[in-house]
Amino acid sequence: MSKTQVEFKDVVRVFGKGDGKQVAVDHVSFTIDEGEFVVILGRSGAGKSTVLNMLGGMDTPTEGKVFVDGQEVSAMNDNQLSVYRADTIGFIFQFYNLIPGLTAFENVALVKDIKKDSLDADEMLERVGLSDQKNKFPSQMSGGQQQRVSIARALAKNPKIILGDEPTGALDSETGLIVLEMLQKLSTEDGNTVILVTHNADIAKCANKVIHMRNGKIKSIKTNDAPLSVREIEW
Amino acid sequence: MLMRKMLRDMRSSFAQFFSIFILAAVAMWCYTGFQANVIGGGRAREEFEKKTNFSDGWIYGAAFDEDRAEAVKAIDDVNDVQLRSEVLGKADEKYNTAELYCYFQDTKSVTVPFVIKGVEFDPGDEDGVWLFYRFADAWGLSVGDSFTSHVLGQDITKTIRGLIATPEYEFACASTDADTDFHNIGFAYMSVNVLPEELRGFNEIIFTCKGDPLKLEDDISSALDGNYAFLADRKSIDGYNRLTDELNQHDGFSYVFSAIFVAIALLVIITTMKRMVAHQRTQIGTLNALGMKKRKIMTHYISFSVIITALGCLVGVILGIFTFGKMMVDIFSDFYSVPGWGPGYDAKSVILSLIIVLICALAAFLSCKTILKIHPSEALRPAAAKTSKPCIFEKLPFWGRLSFTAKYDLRDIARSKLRAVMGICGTMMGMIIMLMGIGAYDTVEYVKDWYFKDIQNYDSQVLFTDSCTPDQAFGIADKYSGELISADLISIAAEEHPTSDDIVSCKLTVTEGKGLFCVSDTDLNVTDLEPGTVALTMKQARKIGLEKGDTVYWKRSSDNTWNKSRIGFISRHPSIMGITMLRADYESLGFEFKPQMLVSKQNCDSAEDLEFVSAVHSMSDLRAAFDKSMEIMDLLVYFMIFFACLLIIVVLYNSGNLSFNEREKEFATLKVLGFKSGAIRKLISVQNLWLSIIGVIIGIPLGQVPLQAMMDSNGDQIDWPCYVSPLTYFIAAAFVMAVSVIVGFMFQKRIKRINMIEVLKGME
Repeated sequence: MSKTQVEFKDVVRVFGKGDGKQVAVDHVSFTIDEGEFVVILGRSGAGKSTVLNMLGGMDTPTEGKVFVDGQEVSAMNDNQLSVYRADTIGFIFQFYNLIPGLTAFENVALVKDIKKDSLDADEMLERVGLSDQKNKFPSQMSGGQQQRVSIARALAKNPKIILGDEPTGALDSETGLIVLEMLQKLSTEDGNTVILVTHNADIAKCANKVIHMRNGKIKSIKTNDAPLSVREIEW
Repeated sequence: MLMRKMLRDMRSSFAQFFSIFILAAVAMWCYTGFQANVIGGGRAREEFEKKTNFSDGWIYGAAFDEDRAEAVKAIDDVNDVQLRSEVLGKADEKYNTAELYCYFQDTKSVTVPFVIKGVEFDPGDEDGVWLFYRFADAWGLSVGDSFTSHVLGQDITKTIRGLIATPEYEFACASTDADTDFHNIGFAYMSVNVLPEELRGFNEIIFTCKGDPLKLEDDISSALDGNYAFLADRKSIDGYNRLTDELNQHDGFSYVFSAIFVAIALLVIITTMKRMVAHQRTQIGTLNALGMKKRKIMTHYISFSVIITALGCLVGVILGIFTFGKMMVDIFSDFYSVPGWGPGYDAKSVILSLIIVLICALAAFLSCKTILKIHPSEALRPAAAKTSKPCIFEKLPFWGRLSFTAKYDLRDIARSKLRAVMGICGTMMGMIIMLMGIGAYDTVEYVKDWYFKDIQNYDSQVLFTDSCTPDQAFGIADKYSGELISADLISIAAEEHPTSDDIVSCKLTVTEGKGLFCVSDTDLNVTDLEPGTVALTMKQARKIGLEKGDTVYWKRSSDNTWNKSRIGFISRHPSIMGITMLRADYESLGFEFKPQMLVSKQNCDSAEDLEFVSAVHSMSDLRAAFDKSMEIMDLLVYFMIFFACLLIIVVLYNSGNLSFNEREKEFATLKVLGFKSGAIRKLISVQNLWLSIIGVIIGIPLGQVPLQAMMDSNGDQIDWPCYVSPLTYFIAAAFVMAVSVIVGFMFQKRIKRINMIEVLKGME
């Protein structure tokens, strides 16, 4: 039986005060098991990115608790959160967020400065099929290539959980599929927990679990016993 | 609406705009501060000279009379002429037998005493004396008091009719003092009839004229049949010229300092505006798409620069006049005697402010015009990411071994060259000013050592009265095993029959060559005078184009004969400019050696009671007086250190701030990846430190140049070789580095507060 890795317990996230108060996440609870490929689905403003940010240690709940591997992330201070992000989380952004002044290799290798036992940058680039592009700067690469560097960077940390915020949102369909395939493989073949946020319902068909959010609340949580492979979905 | 937008934009980029404000304010603060003194002093002097009908020329000689004065007056360009007798006397013993320059006249048309208190000078009043107000204040004398002076062997007791000042004594310092002490120096105006008839002669003709009085020398010479000793202009009057030199120096400072701050302000404006318009690219595109004219948008962005610099200039001008300027005036008007000297200002401050505003507006225009050239539809889309390519630093052989921080910072420098230039230039300028400030201190100490240890190789100095006979002097020299010195005013030239333009006024010092009163060569090494030769000071040698081995022509102020001597070596002295020669050579020319001073290694305190001794100074007295005379220099030093600190802090903070803003998204990404705030701060600190180090390295060799220029701006009568000690270089560099590191810590909080979500979303 799989072990529960992530647990959201009655989490609330409120932005602003008084009249400007906005409830982005409203009493959300769910669990995610180790090695699962999870998609958090919802329209714009549903609160899915806020959930991901709290899970990634970039934001803290107003109420409720977030546990990862039994540790209460929501109670961590700044320093602990830095260590948590460095050791546990690999983040993939919609707009890649590579450091423009560093080459592809250096963008991946910089992880060594954060985590001593990080994986070899060359190997990671090979894994995402970019060995021949390693000396290029982000501005010299396509969006798909940049996103693959971003994945290599996330993988180099050997994280327990990989989080992706609309990782295919800025890519064309073919490149998006390649990236998605890569992420699915990380879960199915390498056993990483992968959690993606998207508004694209088709992507949800590849996931083990789909958490559907609307207006900051969980509309449904569905477990998919037979997820499709990425190439089977219609984009 | 755009005004509201501007105010909000300013608030969001407060640090940069505040830096620009501070730099503009400081530029004008410096300028108006110095100018308040220069203009205020200039105006007060102009008024003073007008009211006193201050002379343009001085003809020294003997037995001048009405006919000769009339002959001079008959020269075309001469306006007014005044006969007078100038005699150095002494105040009564109860006034410490202070040096008292007495002027005896029977008319008053040129250099008429300016009355501070009492009645106008009346040359017909045989019972009255008009006394220098500073001297009177120092001794508590006032109008109506009786005052006794000893002049030409006469004891003259008269009633003080007025307390006066003249431009000839704007600066006054007794020859027995190293620094101004109004207890020891005074001047008095009296009727010539106060003197017994046999002493009523005139030794000066002073006159006002059109143009340069020295150009009239041929006319004067023929008018007086060559029967005069010396013609001098205002530049030769130390009591007047010293303030002229000082005000000229401040005038120069006002432009140099403000230029430095404006240059840095320009760099800050360019970097800030470039960043802002790039950041607001889509907003500009939107405004354009809405139909707003490009000119209006441009005006909006230029107005950031205009409003901030105009406000800065305004505050700077006001503060300059009422704080720094007033402080300078207070100090200077206490040291110099110019009635009515207050802070002054003129339209130049407004014009310079406008120039600063216009230059800064131009900088803003140039920064914005590229984006405004872009088609609105294109501007509506975010700009393409800056293209990166391998930077020049990657060619370094050890590039591969550099840490992530080093590589990241080097690439950032290569990508943001203008910001790097701003950081380097700012720290370089700060370093230069800092070196000027602390280096001025070093120079004072260096000159003090040179002067008091090398040149003045003695422990006591005994000054003789005018009545001291050579025999008395020789007697005391034997007693104290000392060296006798005499000095005289001379004119020097490179040719035997020079014209006025080729003559330089300076001093002749005659020594006995016993090694107590020494002469330094141009490397400041004490050098013995070779018999048969003279030493000529460097500045004067350069001025008349002479070198070692050449012949210098000279004549004493009391003679008409030109003498010639071979230059044995070119010398340097901090304050005595001219020729130094040996007593034997002086006497071989037929002159009588009449010592005015004895210097000795022994304690000469007991000589103070001798009637022919006017003062005895120990080396510690002389050093103390020298230190006191450096008070104004100290003020300038504090001023420079303060502004250097301000400049370095503003520039480094701004550089760090820009660096932070430009890389905020990258820092947010690094934070998400797990970088701790300290590691991110290190990125800013390390880069700032590198830029500072480069600025420091460039600033080190450049620091001595303006320092020497500052020392040279004191005029030809002072020769101070500048010196910056290794400790000063270390302190200045350490300070720059420390600020750089501290500035890094100032970003600690901001790094901690980076909102990863907002920044990463907001920068899309």
